[in-house]
Parts: sequence; C-alpha cells; structure tokens
Amino acid sequence: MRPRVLLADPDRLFGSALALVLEHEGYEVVGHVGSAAEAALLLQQTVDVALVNVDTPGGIAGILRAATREPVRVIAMSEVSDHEELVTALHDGARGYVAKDASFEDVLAALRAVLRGQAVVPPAMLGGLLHELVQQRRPAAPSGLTPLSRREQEVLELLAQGHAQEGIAKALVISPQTARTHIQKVIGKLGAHSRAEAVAVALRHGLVAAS
Amino acid sequence: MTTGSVPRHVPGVVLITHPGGAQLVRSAQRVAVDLDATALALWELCDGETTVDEMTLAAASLFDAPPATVERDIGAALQALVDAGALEWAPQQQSPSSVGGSTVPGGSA
Repeated sequence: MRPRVLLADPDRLFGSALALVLEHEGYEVVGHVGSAAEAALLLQQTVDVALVNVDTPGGIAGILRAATREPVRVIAMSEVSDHEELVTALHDGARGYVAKDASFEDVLAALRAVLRGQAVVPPAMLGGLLHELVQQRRPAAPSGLTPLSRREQEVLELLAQGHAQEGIAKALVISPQTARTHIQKVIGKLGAHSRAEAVAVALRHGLVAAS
Repeated sequence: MTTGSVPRHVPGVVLITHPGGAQLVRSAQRVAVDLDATALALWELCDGETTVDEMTLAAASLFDAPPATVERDIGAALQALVDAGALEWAPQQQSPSSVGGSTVPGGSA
C-alpha cells in the first residue's frame, strides 16, 4: 500500500511540482491544500504524513487538530533554515523539518524517516537545537531573567570584541550555522534586534567589560 | 564511569566544515577525525558546562528514544573523541544554570 501524503502549502506551483515528484516516487498524494481549514475534509481519510509549509494559514497545530480520525505525522517545510522556526515547528508537533532549499532527495529521505517513526532535523541545525533543548531543561534564574548559557556568554563576549559569525565559529570551534544560532539566541535573550544593540545592552548591564 | 566531569574541547583542535560533513583536526599531531552530523552536534555541546546527562535527556526527547540507549550511544561517541585527543573530561563547575550530576561513561578526568 502506498504511503498517503497530504501537502499543505500556499505556494500552489511548488506544491504541484512536489506532488508530481511524490507520485512518481510511489507516494499517494491525497491532496494539496492552502490552509489547515481546507485540510479538514481530506484529513477525515487516512493520511500517513502531512508536508506542511510553516506559513500555511492555521499552521501545523491546525493540521494536527483537524486530523481527528487518526494521528498524522507532520513534516514542516520552511522557506529558510531558521532555528526559531524549527523549535516552534517541533513544539507544535512536527516530527521533521526541511527547508525549501533542500533537494527533492532530502524531502524523500525525510518522508521515509518520519514514516519509520524517526525525527528529522537538518544536520546543520542539530547542534543548535540540542543546545536549545538542554537550556530549556535548566531552571530559570530566580529573577525571572533569561540567563545566558556559558556558550552564549562566550558568544556575547566575542561579539563585543567585534567578531562576526565566522570569527566566533572559529574561536569556539563550532560550525558557522551553530554560531549563527547562538548569536540569534543572545540577541533574543537580551531583548535586542541586532548584534550591535545586543552588545550595547550587554555593556549597559555589565555583562561584558568595555574594552 | 566517573561522576562530576563534563566533556570539553582540547585546546588547539580546529573544526573544518564543508558541504559533505566536518572534520576535527589536530595539526600538531597531524590527526584528523571525521564527524557526522550527530557527532558534530555532540562536539558543539561540549562547552565544559553541559553534562552528559543533559545531552542524553535532550537527545532522547528529540528522537523519542530510550534514555539508556541514547546515553550509551552518546557515551561511545564522546569517548571516541576523547580517544582521538579532541575532547577531555574536566571537573564540573556548579553554576546557577547547571542541574544535576554528570555521569561520564568510561571517562576519567
């Protein structure tokens, strides 16, 4: 029996192209919808996996809520590889995440893995995600402030010294993608909107020493 | 097993990433270690603060796998990096953000 796949993507052209590839590879595409509301009727039948663009109205949570007949495994699709989007997708119940710059082979590999019951995370994003999961399990500071991890503090200090992403990756012996994730986390935790603002906030609060 | 230790990078090790994967290089010893995606992720968690227990729980929750199995796999992967001279065990420093003890499979500080 062919695995049954639902596509949810407001981009009709991309969805149609993906549907053709999946049908060619032996999957049964039960439908292509542009929103979670549109998916409700299709989800009354058996669907093994739903490929859901994170920008789909109603989102992953809406798709999972609409799947009342039986649980459906969701793979989130995104325009870009974004750490926060990945975390949100997994939190909403996705079992996998692929960026649209991935190849069709990557999408097919993700489908096979999720059908086997495995979780799928882009390899370059795994380090940042595990770091995030470790941080989430640590107790919050009594003050209610979001504390920086040791690694994030190191990243902040390197930012304050004027290092860019590549320099930080080299100094900490981590990949550029993971360095980027740490930078994003530091900026977010400090309530800043840019690297420069994060450094300014850190200097103001004495989190780093002025050089 | 040794408690109270966390894995951290050995100074002087360089990470080289490329589209096909990643390599740790100790140029002085002319040693190179290939890393797959999982090994690279573990390497990046070895910040001298994160315990093996924390790595285990995070990976087990992500992959919905039994913690005992995950701990064994992580322990083996970390020990391979220790044996290659890329990682070392360091005493765990208690900090407000760290929790629990660390169990280091087969390691010594």
